[in-house]
Amino acid sequence: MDFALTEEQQFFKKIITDTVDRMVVPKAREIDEKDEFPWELWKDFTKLGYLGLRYPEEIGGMNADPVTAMIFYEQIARGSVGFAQSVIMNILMGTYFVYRFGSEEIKKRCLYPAMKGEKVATMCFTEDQSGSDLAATRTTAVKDGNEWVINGTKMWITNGPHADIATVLATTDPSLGAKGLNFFLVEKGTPGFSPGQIIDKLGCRGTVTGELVFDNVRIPEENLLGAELNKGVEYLAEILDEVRVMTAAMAMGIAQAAYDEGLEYARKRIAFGKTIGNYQLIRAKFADMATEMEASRLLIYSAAWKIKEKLPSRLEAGMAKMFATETCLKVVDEVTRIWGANAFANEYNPQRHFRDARFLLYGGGTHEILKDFLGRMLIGKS
Amino acid sequence: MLERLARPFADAIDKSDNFPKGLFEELGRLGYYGLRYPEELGGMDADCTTFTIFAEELARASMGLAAIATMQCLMGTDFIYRFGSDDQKKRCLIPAIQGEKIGTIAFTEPDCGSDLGGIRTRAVKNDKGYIIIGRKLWITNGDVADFVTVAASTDPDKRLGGIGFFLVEKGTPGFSVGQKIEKISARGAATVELIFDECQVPAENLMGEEGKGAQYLNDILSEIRIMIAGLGLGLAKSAFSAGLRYAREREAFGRPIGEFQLIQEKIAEMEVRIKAAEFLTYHAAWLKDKGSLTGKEAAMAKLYSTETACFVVDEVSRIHGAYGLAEEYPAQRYFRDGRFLLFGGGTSEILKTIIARDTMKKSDFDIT
Repeated sequence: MDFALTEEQQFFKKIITDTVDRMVVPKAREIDEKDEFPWELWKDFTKLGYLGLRYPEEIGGMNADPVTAMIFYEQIARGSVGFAQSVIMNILMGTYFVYRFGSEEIKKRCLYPAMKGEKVATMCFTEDQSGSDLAATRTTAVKDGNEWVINGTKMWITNGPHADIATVLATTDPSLGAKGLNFFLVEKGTPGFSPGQIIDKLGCRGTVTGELVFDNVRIPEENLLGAELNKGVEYLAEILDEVRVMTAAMAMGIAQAAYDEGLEYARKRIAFGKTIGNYQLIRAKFADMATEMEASRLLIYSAAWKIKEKLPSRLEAGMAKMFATETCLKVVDEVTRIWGANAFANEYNPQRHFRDARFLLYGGGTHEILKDFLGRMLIGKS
Repeated sequence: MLERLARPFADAIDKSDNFPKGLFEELGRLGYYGLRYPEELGGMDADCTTFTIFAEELARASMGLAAIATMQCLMGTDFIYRFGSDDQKKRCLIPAIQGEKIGTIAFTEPDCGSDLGGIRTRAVKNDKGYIIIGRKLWITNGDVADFVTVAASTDPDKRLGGIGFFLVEKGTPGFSVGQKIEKISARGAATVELIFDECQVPAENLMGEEGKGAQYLNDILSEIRIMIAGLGLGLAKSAFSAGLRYAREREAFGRPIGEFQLIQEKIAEMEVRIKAAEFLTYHAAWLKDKGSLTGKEAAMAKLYSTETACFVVDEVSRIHGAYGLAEEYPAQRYFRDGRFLLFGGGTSEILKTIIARDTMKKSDFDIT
């Protein structure tokens, strides 16, 4: 068993770490405070080609393997989770279905510009009354001649108000439950497609999350993103593991950023005549944090490696998402304790990490749902 | 009463982060700032149990208001009540009880919090009294305070043994308000920097005796910890109700989420911990009222109740799913406010060492 990163992966890690330190870290606080899409940073950063991270070189991508992609997700989230969420949406969920099923025409119009940052992409699952329970999706797609007519409202949509292209989950037959779900491409400017309210939220600020309204939106037949009808859930399953491990990698990014702050503080803050890093209760926190972060990364890289090798990874991806996110929550909690009252002063970063970490609990399945799902896989259906 | 008076404004207090002047004065008119003080002074002469109920209810309504009001009831006025001259009481304490003046206490400095012996603010004796020199940080109500009880050292070499408390009133030359700390918790209760730039105060503004400050503070430290345990309970109960409501209303997979075992587990765990925190808190208050409280019981109540509050606000935000992040629901406010309880009155880490040190001194059979 070989745990080492390849030379290429190590090189990639160094480059992206430096890039994030230089371009993203200095902007993180401003992104959080303003809670606006950071257009300027977006333009500068996307020039570097990272939005094509997962896609083949022939179409201008970087052809990165899943392990390399995880390195990227972690580093960008270490810089700013608000910015990372927007970037990763373009890299993965927002473009996957277009890449996989779009016609050449659609790819030219949507995918290639999205890989260059010229178009902002998003993915719309969630509705006001349904999240992890996909089968409860109420947005409908009805065939009318050679067009689809989409009706419904989506909520919690990353990049929602700025999205140029949206991959929308809708049911073509509500009586079929999850088996009636399909993905459709809806482009900005299509009549009836409009942004609704923006959600003012606790963490992951800077990525604008909002409602999208589909009111009799007519799209051509070819905008059904799928080789066959009613296979949406199966297609989603193709990237589900990657999405979950990606979330785990983002969790490590936040955890690392917080941990570094904690370390610096423990080394310089003095109480009772010694730096607080001299006290056992503080040292124990670092021992626990570092152990759990190491374990998280092993779960992440091993799940990513399985995805790369096309080995079964459903269980491992769920474990990685849950364990890394819980570790992240613990780290941001402990770091705020290490920082004492300074941890809730807005002028320092620990309070931002503490808020940001919550964002990772929900996407890719809440931990309550993941636990139930993993348990069911392990016990088997009776 | 607070349910009606304050709770509806909790969100507005949090969002604006402004001092809720109207509410503050209303509580004064109703006499609550005198809860702990004798009736002769316009107080209610209430016991620690009653005061803890008040703290709990305040926090259930709004953590910002709770931070403001408990400061006024306890730390901000206690030294003047115990050590102030009649004139000082007339000028500061009685108007504070009526809600007409605002009092605060100033321990913390940029580089020291729980480690009180490390303070750098100096009190230098001269023929007119004392000159106070230094900076204080994280001072609740500091920007609106009419008078401040300031911890300063007359002899830094003696560390804790050099500390005294000094009354400094607004308008004293050299006393000014510095930066305001923007923060995530207990918003509405401004926390600011206070600057004492060669601030001359008369000798009678020394509260009690020189070098006895740490001892005087110790007299009320347990009460402060029990009060904060009460705040933790209030927050936990408020968040718990919100979680319960959501678990009943929100449906997933065709059922209210409260019907799923993993959500039920959260409800049960939260309720048991809240109940345990309630017992520890009110047991400590009861011991205080009986006169047999030791520091350990108060430390345990503060530790357990505030940690429970942080646990509950975490679980409640999970029950809310992504709505736990949305500003339109209170879950995110509870989640932020929980952190406020972890530091004042001693961090959890420090409380654990206090509890353990006390236990280590005992023989096995008298561990309760």
